[in-house]
Amino acid sequence: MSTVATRPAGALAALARTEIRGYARSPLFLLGAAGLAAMAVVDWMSTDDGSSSTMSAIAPAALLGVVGMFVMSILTVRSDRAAAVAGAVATDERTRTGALAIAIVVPATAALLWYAQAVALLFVRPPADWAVPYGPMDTTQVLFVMAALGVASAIGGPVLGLLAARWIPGRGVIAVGAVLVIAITIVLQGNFSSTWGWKAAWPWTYWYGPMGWRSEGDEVHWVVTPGTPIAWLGYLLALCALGVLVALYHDRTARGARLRGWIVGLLVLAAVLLALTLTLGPSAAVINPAVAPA
Amino acid sequence: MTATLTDVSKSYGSTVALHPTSLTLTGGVIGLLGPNGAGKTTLLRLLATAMAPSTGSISVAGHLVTGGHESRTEARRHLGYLPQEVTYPSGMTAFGFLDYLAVLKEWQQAATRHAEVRRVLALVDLGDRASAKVRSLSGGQRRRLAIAQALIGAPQLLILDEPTTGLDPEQRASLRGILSGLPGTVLLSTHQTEDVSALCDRVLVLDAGCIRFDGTVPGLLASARGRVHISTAPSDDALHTWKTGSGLVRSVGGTPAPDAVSVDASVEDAYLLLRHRPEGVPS
Repeated sequence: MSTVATRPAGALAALARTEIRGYARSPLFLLGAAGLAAMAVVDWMSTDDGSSSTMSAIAPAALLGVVGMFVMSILTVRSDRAAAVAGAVATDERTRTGALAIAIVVPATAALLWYAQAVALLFVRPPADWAVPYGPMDTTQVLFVMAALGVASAIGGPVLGLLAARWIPGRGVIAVGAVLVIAITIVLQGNFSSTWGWKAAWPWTYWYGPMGWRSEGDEVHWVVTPGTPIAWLGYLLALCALGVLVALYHDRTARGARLRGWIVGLLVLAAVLLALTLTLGPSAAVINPAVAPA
Repeated sequence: MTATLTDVSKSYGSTVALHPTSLTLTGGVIGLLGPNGAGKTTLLRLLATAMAPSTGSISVAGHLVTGGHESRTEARRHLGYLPQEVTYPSGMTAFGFLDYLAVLKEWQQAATRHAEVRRVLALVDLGDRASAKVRSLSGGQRRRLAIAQALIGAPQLLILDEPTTGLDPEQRASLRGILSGLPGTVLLSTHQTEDVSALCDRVLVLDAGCIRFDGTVPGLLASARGRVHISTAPSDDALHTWKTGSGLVRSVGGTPAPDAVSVDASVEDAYLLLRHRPEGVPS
């Protein structure tokens, strides 16, 4: 006789613990986390260029976010294959997807640790006058940008991996997705004046920095771009939550009115936050008159 | 434990894999024989809740598989299933793989789960390979690992699709020992007729999506009595003939030669004869 007698909630918790361990022990994640730690150490030990930690959020975005796309894809395929070996198990796909989503706590924790040290560095070694905070970009907004670029990206990458593994499984999908994310990030970071219109419609990457398209002659000036990063962080987190729900929606048995309602609700919330991002804050770019090092 | 199929059929487009079938499975080891494409795997997958039938209803331990999600999940808690083909997740050890599956089978407490994993690993004689990566295991060891996952939790209904594929004779004998000692119901699909004769209390023969025989091994053997012969020449119109090691010819079916001697039929002989019996002829 079977000795199994459990409740679904307990099953989710047990599976989530397993997925958390799987994520934390993933060689890719460990490599990324080690790289991130090394870069943080270098930030603290290096001779400061004046920007403090305001420009270092690219590190968790790449080493936890982009890498997380691969880690989560691998974990999802592992979960699907294991379930297929058993043919049909009591733990359904939505529970497995939920447990995988919970495992994102691993890169999120790593990103928060990075964030804590980045904030500490910001206060211990404040940025130069030519950087930020400047004008409408006060310290609070800088912290929001760093959280959005670093922590939200570290969460968003694995969510993208989960979403892709659920809806468009196949070899190479994640690699293509990672290349696309990197390419779009580069294009939309504001270095090219021709992307300004896109940025107004799709604020994604940098909110301040030595943007080439605003530099005059040999002098480089930091620029603060329009909009508000406070709503933007909310917008990114809403997209992350939306991604998890859409991944859950892949399981036909999960497609109830309640889940559909949450998805629609989050879509509306994301749209509202995007609108607030675009309409609040400065309506035009603000240039710091102090000359930054080239 | 009882599993019941009532007028269950399965079609893939215009192809009928299983014609309307009603069956009740109540304890013991049940052998499922049939040629390739007979619908055996379809029948097992239906019973294992891995796919939904086109028509009819299935219940396992009183829980309607074809009912709602909760009922199907409850049914899954009572069964173990070994698919015919298995693709393992990469990078896992034998223990890690089974531990993960035990979690999927809702074993929450780590200590009892690990004990259960060790138990099933020992059952299939893989206790000393627990820490080995699955990819480093031999074909037979991987098959035994797949069998081990089906045994997790000592399910009341164990569904095995060709479990002995890739196992050597000693391992097959060991598996027979395991299966014969299980308390619940075991449904075993196989091409190894000797496994059926050695192990099964009941035999089902499936052909072209229809149950052609449902009875005991002695009943199946009785259907072939007097129809298998040995002689110096093959029987006329025999279904199958082959020269044995003694130089004599064994004939299954057909009109025996004048010097033919009737011999005891094997399960394989009976199965071959059954396969060529016109439909509608009672077993």
